[in-house]
Amino acid sequence: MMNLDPLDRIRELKQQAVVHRNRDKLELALRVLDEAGSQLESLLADPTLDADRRAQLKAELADTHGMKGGVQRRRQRPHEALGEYEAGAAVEGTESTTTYNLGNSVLLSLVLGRATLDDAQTQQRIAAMVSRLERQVVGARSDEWWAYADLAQFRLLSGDVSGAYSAYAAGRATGPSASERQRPLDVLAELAAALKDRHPQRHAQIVDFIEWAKRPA
Amino acid sequence: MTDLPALKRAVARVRAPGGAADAWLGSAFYIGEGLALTALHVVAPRPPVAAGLRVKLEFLAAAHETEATLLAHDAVADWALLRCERPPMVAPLLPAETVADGEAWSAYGFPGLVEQGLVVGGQVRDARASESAAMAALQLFCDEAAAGQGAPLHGLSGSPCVVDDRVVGLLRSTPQDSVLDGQGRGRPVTVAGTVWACPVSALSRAALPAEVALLPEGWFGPPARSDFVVVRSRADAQAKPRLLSVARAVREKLPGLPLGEPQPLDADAAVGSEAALLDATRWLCRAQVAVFDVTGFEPAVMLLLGIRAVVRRGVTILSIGGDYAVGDRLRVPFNLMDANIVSHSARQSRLADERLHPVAMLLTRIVRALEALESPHHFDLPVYEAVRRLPVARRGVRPPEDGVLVLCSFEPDYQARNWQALNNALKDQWDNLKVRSPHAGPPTAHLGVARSFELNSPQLVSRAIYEEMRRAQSCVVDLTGWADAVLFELGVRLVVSPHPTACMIERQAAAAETDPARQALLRLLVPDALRYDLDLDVLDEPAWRCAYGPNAELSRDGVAGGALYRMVAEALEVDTEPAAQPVYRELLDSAQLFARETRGGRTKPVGLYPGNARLTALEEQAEFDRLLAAFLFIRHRHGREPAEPEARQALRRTAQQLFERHQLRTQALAPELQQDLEAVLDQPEAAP
Repeated sequence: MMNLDPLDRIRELKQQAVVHRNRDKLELALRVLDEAGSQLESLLADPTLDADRRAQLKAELADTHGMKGGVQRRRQRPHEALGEYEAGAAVEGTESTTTYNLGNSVLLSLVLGRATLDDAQTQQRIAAMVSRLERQVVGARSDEWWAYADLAQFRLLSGDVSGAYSAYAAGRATGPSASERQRPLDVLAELAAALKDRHPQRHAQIVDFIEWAKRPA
Repeated sequence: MTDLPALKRAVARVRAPGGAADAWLGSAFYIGEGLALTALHVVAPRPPVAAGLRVKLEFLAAAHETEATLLAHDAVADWALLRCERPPMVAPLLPAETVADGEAWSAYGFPGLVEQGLVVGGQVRDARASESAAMAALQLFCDEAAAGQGAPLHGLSGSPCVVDDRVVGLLRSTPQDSVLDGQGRGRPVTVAGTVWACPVSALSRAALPAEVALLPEGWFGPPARSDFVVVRSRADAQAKPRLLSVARAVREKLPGLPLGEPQPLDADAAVGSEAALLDATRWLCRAQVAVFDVTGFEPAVMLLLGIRAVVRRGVTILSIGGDYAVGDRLRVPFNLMDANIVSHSARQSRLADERLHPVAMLLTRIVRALEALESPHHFDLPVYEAVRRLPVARRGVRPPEDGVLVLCSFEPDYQARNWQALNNALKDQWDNLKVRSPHAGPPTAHLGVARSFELNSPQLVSRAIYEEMRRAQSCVVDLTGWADAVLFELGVRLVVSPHPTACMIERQAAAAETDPARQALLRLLVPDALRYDLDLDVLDEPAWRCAYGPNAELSRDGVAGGALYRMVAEALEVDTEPAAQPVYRELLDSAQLFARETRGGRTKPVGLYPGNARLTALEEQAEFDRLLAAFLFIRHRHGREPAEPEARQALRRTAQQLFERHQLRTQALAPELQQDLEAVLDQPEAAP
């Protein structure tokens, strides 16, 4: 038998978690993800790891937090979800090739009213996200739907409406599935509802964007 | 029939170093890997046997001499194993697995009476005899020893006793008596034509010293062939590092891999005799990993590569040594244009990027290829699929009156000198055939006299030619010019068709040939009747009529007569054949083509044109349909809890993927089917 990389087993656990999640076995999904997370942390505790391996394990751990965040949102536990996204964003660091945790933590903070678009810190985080994603979509993530969908969301929040439309249109060319196209629109709808009173203009822009994005290309 | 020229080349006269030119001790024979066998009493007539004893071996028929050192011996069975300082370039003799009473044997060696060597022969009288209480023996009757007053056979000791080209024993002794000659002097004579031989089976109990790490196949015990073979070229003998040592270094770095130790297969030796080629082909069928040294694309290597390309969908890696480094300009035979070639040269190992060093490259290639083999659509050489995946309408044999496939060189010299004559001669024969038995099909369906580029096929040239190699009953291979592509194609032809192949060569070219491997191939494949003379008028040259036409006379025996094809039919690793693949594996593999997998939160596009929404939707549906089909198949064929581990794992994994990637579609399935999926997922997972 070939030697199995422990990471392969961890990835299997994460796939199982997705299956549990999709079968509405949310508690079980969380337990499996906890197990994956704890295995990753024990692997990361090894001081002899080389830089590549450490980065690989950290990316998996950040993703595990992100998945737990997603499960918590399905459980209607947005605060726990935010905690997971923030933990994941901290692991991801600023050079990560994914923005899933950071993006969700910004968006969920807005939805939960823990942050507002007027905060200097929030504006800074949004600007940083846009800048990072703009670099990524001309490089390693130029063929990745989620990079474009995130860029469209954060450009909308930063007031760059035409930039949001062009990012979304470019993202469509990467061939997202129907459910992948739908998910950012659900998040935007949630965000629009949260911004309705304090930022009516931004609310209207997001609603228009959702309507446009729903139309077939 | 014994291949006497091959036998003679492998037998040496044994002389004491510095001994008189007319005084030799006996005979020995080459068994491969630099080793020779003789009788112990030849090199050490009396005990004790000196450590490091040295003798001189004279391979007269191969014009080669070498000193040799005693490595191991058995005083009871009377055999001695010698290591040659400079091994001869001859085909090693192979051992027989069994020998039966009554079989005809022959031997070749150097009796004192005949300085240049003598062939003797007779019958095996008793294959399970005993020369003394502790000494198992073959009791042979020797015609020469029985003739006249019983010729003394002194000097034949250590000669190989062969039956059908395989060694059954080593000639050891004769019961002797003495008669008085005309001058009243005593003269030794052999009694009753009896000769004793040490049976090959006696070697299998030998305890060999550790330095004899590499033993030739079959000698000294049952064959222990690895599933990891390194096909060595002649160039590899001078190479540094040698491909085998690179392969061994690779193997050491893969302790967890279910793969044996790399073992060498000497390509030149493999074409030394029919038995050797059959044996090599059997090994190529079995080896999961085969690494070929294609330095210089030597004829024997190319022939074996053609065979391998057909007989096994395994890992086959081509490597070049010499002064080649990956990326250098390289002339590659057109059949191998698509092959991914690595390098094991010293220059390659000096590159700054260690990932490109020979061991690292070969290691990566083997690991990735073994993974890729999981897919039934993975191939690292052309041919395999082309000769198997034939549409129903094109599977039948093409009779001779339909035409003849010609495999020959496309070099300008050959085209100018040979092709016109060959073409005209074969067309004449085709016309004769058509008159006698007209072909029923439309003229456009005729093969005619066709080379690879002349096949009237809508397919890619490479596919069309391999298909015709299988179908064409008549195939002429002209070795003149020794084009490497022709040798590869010949290898393919010999194992895809049960019909005889007419291997030809221009007579003058054959006569002028000095390369030992080419000479061996000619002995093996090209009978005298198929050597043509361009100075003769087409109508006067009998070789053409012999090769193709109404009066063709091709042997149905031997390598070119279909023996390799018949052997492969038996030796084939059936479990690796397409028909042995479970249908669900194909479904899952093709589902994988359309799978949209998420790794670490990142999803990459599936198809070539992801911007086309309709195509993207079709790809999603395609993956779902194949996963579902695989699930249904396994569920119905193997039940909900398959006994076979692979099926059980595939059933669970497929159910997982349906829920993981196609949640909405899966939830829209009929309730009983959903329950089935859920039930599979709810079963406890089996330990890996």
